[in-house]
Amino acid sequence: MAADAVLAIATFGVRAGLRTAGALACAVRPVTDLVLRPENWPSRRLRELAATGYRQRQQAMAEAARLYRTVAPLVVTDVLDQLDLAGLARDIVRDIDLPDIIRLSTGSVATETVRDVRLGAIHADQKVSRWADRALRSWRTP
Amino acid sequence: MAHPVTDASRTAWILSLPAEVRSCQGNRAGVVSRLLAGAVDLAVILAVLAAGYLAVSGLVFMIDPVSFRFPAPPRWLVLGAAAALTVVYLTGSWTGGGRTYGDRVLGLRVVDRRGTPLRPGRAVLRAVFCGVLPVGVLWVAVDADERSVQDLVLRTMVIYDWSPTVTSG
Repeated sequence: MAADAVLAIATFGVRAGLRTAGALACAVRPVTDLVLRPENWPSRRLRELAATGYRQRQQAMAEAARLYRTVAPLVVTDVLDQLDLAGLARDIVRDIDLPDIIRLSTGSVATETVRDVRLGAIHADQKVSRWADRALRSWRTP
Repeated sequence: MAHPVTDASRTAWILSLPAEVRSCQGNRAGVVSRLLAGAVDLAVILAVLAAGYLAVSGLVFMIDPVSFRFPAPPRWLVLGAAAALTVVYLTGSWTGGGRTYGDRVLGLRVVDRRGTPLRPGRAVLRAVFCGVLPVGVLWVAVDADERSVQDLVLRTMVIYDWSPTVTSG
């Protein structure tokens, strides 16, 4: 009879221990899954984190682009309205003396070209004149 | 705008030219130079005629853009306009500075026997003569004194003159 009582106590103890262990196992399962399975936890967690970060980054960029498309035209239009572009261009042209630069650059080229054309024409005139003198010598001198 | 030059400034300008060019200044120009100058003048006249045609076309377009077509002027009108423009252009150029645009490019000048720019009457006659008989310039190659038919008849001459201003003669 005493042995039966000990067996019953032992049985209750084992059952209680198993029940407690099961409860503990359920409670610590996320931790144990993360800690006790190294083949899963680093890559999967990181992939999930990376995917989450990617989605958040895409959302942030889309939001920034939408904000830029909304704000930029307003800013540029306002800046252009504030600027006197015609006056600015006039000041720049006046400061760099564009007409003088064009006159100097094209003038020197044109002068050289005209001089070459004139010299070539004079040489051709002299050749024609010499040829005519030889060809018409008998006709010109009676 | 051409201005007379003093003898001192002209002498200084001539001394700045190359020797081979300096010796030619004031000599009668040859046939090649004159033909080239004539070609440039012909291009100028054609360009002005074309510009006039475009201007008239633009005017017609502005008046009636719906039924616009490029005008087709009769041949007599084209020839008349070209002749009138030629006479006016040559006369104005020769009496103004003694040179047309082609003469300016080639460094030539049209003067009378005394070396002065042509008077209007002689300039008109020479312009008409050049328009009627443009091949008269070819006589320059034959004549011993490099004169064209127009020069022989009207007592004019074409000289090399690279100076940018009117000479005092």
